[in-house]
Amino acid sequence: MISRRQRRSRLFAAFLGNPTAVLGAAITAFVLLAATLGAALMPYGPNYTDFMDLLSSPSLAHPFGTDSLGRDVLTRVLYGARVSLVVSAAGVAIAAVVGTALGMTSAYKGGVADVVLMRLADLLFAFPSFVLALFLMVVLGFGTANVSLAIALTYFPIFARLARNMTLLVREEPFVQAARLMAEPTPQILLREILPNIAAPLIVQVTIGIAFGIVIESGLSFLGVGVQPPTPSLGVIMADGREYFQRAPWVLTLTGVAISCALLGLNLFGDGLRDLMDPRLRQRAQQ
Amino acid sequence: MTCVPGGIPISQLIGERLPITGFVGFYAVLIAVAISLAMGTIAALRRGRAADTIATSIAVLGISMPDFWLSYILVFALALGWHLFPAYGFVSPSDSPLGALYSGFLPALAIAAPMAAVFARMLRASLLETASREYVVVARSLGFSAPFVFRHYIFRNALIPYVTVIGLQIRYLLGGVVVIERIFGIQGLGSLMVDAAFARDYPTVLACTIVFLSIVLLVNLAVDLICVALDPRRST
Amino acid sequence: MIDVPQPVVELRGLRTRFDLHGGSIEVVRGVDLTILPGEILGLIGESGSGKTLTGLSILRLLPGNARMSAQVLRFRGTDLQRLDDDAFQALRGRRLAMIFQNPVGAFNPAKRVDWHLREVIRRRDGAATEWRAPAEQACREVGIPHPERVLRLYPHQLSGGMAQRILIAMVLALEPDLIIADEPTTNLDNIVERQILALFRRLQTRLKAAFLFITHDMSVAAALCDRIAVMYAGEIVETGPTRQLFEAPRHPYTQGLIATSIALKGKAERLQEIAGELPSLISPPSGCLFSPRCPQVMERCRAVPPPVFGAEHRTRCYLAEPA
Repeated sequence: MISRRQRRSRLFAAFLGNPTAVLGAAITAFVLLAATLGAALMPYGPNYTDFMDLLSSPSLAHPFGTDSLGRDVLTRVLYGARVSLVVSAAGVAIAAVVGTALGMTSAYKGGVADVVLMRLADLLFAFPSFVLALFLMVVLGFGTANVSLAIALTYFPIFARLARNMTLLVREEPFVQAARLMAEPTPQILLREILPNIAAPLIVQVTIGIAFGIVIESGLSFLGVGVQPPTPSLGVIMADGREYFQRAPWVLTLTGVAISCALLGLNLFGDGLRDLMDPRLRQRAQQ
Repeated sequence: MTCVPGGIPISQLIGERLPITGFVGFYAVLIAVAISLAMGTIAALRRGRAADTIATSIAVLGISMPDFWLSYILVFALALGWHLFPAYGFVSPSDSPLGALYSGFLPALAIAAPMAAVFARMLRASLLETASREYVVVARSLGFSAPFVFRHYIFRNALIPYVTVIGLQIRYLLGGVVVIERIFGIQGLGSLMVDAAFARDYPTVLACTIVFLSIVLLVNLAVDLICVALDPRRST
Repeated sequence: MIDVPQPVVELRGLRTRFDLHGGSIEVVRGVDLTILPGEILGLIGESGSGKTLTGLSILRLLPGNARMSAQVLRFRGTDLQRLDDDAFQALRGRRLAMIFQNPVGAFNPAKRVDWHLREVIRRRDGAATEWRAPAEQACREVGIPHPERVLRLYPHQLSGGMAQRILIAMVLALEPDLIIADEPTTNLDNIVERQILALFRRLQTRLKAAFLFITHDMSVAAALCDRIAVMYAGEIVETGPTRQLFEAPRHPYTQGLIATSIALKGKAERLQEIAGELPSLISPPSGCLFSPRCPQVMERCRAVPPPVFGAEHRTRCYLAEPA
């Protein structure tokens, strides 16, 4: 049996050999760096208005130009990226934790609770995601935190179902049986024995989920029901840019490029991860 | 449902707007299927060569672009730039079918593009997987020509996962419709829902959500039926 | 002066290798086969000896990452390696055909049985011909009493034996000169197996086609084949008329196979009488490939691989060297 460390270094080597994963990781890293450090390094603040310089096209001083209030668009995009990423990641994190926990428990215990949870997840899953998110914003009220909540609720069934299906497969493995015989308490079995073995597809799903969350968040904010101005998020800036699209198309366009970069990086990274996981986990536990 | 915002019964509003959303959605699916059939087939046939890499890269990019952003790019290029299509002003199909097709092309294309990317990737993967099945080797051993084997053995059997994925993606397609309707000023169900959201008109929002849910369920049912028709193993 | 008939297949030095990430593995290492018209040549070996790949190589049906080459590959005098893919595809089915191991998986799952037979008959006779009568006739010839019923079925509704019969019917309808049968009865139960083998015998006399019958079952080979070639680790180690081979096998591997099959009543999937395993094809042993397992191994066997000795009964072993 190979040790954990050997397995990890082999995984790492395989990862480096996969161009999709590496490219995706690179782009994602770039985006994250830009959102955290880049925003801080910019000379302007996101709400710093300069009425002398409204709607100016991209230049050296303002690489993305300025918007209708004279704010530097690049700064706003970088801060906005930060907000979008945080909102999306928070939502996906909640969905992942709650969904996985419920899915694993439901698969392990079985019975009525399992059936009820799956039916609930199916019902949630049947709603078109964006429509459900929009509905939730109306119910919960507009605002940044609620966007995370909406993303969490929309994405929770996927994690629940995935965790459940994978747990069903792993449940019958000998080491799980052994742990049961040794009277290990159930939460410990779930955490120590089962979770590490089902973590791989869940991680892939988290990556894809964050990308998906960004799309939802920017869509909601674009419509005006998500993050509320003046807090910048990528969707808010795009909504802004929409107002004067004919006169200053770069605002909306370049913001979209930023979103696309983030999505591209996350999608490629998730794809690469999935390629790595596939030969290791032959079981198709999704859907 | 008789709760009345502004005096018009919700059911009537929905009745007026649903066909429009249905039209745009269906148009988008048609475009997505057309693009993905072409791209996916080319990518699979020319696997590993330049055309495959190009098609796959376009597909990855397509998935990574939010559709509401893409619609602006399209408007920018095709409407404002080259004046090929109108940027605004959707004509209802009941008024003029041709007008609807023309004015609805950009919105439908914007919704269709990310969908087409997903479908194309699925078709490519499905074609490649089916091509390695044993019955394909047997068909070739009987001396059937390559086009014949592709059409009847490979393509025909690769359709099933492809159609399944179309059914699964309807959820995202309907989400795209909502925002696109707003951008292009289309008086459909999506813009009704957004307007109602701003007006805090809960009954209308709820009604719209349920209608959207029903559309998804109906489409899933239709896709299931198509899959049963395609795969004899399921019906018996 | 005896008039020697032109062989249907003349194969010398067939080599097939798989290209993998690390390097390549040669799985067929210089196979020589000659098949005369109207004869059944058996190709026997354990799983993994390369027999199926030999058949696939002749028909150019190898998977994408496999490469083959041969010194001589002639079919009725025609050099097959000179033909481009289109010209070769015209030969497949009509001149060279194959019967596969997994009958139900060989059909197009989306189409009925009648579609399959119809397309085969159309390949033979052209697009506009009447196909139903010949299709039903073909079914009857392989022992299906009520063809009309079977024709309307889908492949997944067929039993293994029924499916194999229909596949045989499809191949026969094309009237090829060479039929490569790759373990056609392995997945069938014994009773059905005997029926299918009887069918083969009947058809051989009627068709005058040559057969390359691939199997790991010694008793089937003994009952059916005129000559037998024994394959080990990608090489042919012994070839000869069936009777001679069974009564006086020269190569120790053949001797082991026969002994095992007597013990196991016919099947030689795993060679149990002789210890050890098939050699690694990535780093094969020097000398004779069988030397690590050979109970009669000599020093020279490990050093230099033996050449082939003999004419009608050929053996790749120093033990067969004439004194």
